[in-house]
Amino acid sequence: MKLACSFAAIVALSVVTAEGHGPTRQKLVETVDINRPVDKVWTIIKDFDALAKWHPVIASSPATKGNEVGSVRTLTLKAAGDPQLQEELLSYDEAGHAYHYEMKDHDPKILPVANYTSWITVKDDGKGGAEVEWKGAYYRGDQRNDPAPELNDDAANAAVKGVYRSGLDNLKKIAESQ
Amino acid sequence: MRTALAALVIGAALSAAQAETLAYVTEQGVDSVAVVDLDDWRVVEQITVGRKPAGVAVAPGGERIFVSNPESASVSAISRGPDGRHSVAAEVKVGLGPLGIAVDRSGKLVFVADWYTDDVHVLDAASLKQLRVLKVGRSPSGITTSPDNQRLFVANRESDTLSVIDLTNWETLATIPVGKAPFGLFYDENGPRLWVANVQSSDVSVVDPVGMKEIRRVKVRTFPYGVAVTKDGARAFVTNQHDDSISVLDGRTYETLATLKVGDYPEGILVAPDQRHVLVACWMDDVFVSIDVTTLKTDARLAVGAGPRAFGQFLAP
Repeated sequence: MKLACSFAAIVALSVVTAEGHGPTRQKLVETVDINRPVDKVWTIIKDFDALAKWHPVIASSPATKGNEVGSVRTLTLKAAGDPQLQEELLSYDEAGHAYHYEMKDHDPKILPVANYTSWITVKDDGKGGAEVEWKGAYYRGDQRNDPAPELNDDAANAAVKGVYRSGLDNLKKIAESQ
Repeated sequence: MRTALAALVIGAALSAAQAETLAYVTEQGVDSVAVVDLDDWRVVEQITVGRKPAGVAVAPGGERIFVSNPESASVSAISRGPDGRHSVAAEVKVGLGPLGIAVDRSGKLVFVADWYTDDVHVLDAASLKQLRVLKVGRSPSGITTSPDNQRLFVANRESDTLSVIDLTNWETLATIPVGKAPFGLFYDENGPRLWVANVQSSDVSVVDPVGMKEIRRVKVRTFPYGVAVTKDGARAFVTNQHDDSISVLDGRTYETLATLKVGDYPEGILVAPDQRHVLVACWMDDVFVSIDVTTLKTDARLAVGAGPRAFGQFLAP
């Protein structure tokens, strides 16, 4: 009873108004349906160093150790100054048609994120086609309180969504034209 | 007579409500806490709290549950009534980035680690008034107390240390170097030992909480986040966030017995009171998973709201 009373008192005086921004990990999932069998789609994306073959903004993507865990691919973007990013393979699941990787040494000028890891998976849609799922987990580019607009959660989400969407849509085009 | 009868009825309702074991899973993406009945294995309630809830701490007895909301810089206090239903009793502002949260063993104090200000806020559990602020290392995260309620342990993620604070006089007794980026921790009465997950060095520090020094470093997989140990100390379970796996360690030899794939981004982890199941929140897959402690097989998966974290003591009673 005493407990109930003290809680009632808190309700009366609790007011939460001011805005604050704590460090919240962001999650983004994008998918595309492709009218081709899983194996066919997996063949296009399965190699960790194949990103440049299907992603429209990647000029090259050589990897140090192929599809071995720990392999590092260097992505050169099709942009002024040939900006580069490095990503390391965290896990590789041939049977499950999936791999998981993380970005090394984040550069917020290229992609405004931090602690970024990503999964790509090709799934059977049950109708003879494939669903490709690309998902990411990351923090915004500036993890301090009240970041600048270009380094906040919205900016991080918009940037990652742009990468996934352009890649998946282009993958669909490539796969379905084969 | 009437009073006695009322007391009896309330008593019966209370014991019924306390009979089941509940898990409180913070659902960061949807600003809520899922209340999972472990016996029925279903979500029985979803409680709206502050923005982007992450940390959770169930008070001894299970009548109060405290949740940290990093994005609204607040703590929500949830009350569990005699009928078993929940209500949010209060939401109060705490610091700038509340994340790790714990209740002391008497249920009187709530500790809130502030990621941005490098403080631990000490709140009165009943009134939620701030009693004091403790200076710790950089970006404090996991918090726990010793069972005798004499010491507070805080993992300082950006300082690679563990702060030990004397709860009788609030003095910092030691700052113990551990692995890189310590985050979740677990007080194991066998030893006793304090298990600390070091996110960036992909290992677990085993710390002597009495002698206040690291006694062992155990390699696990990438980005270990939380640790849970069985009551007898025989098995330790570590969530490896970036490896999407759980490392199962022998609590005696520290050998890795198995690495389990249960879901993507496993985070909060605890052993159920029955000691037969390990419970894990998988942030990326939006599932709450139960693993059999003996067979190490996943025995149940439950869909929960987006971004489950369950960082802290999420089980009641």
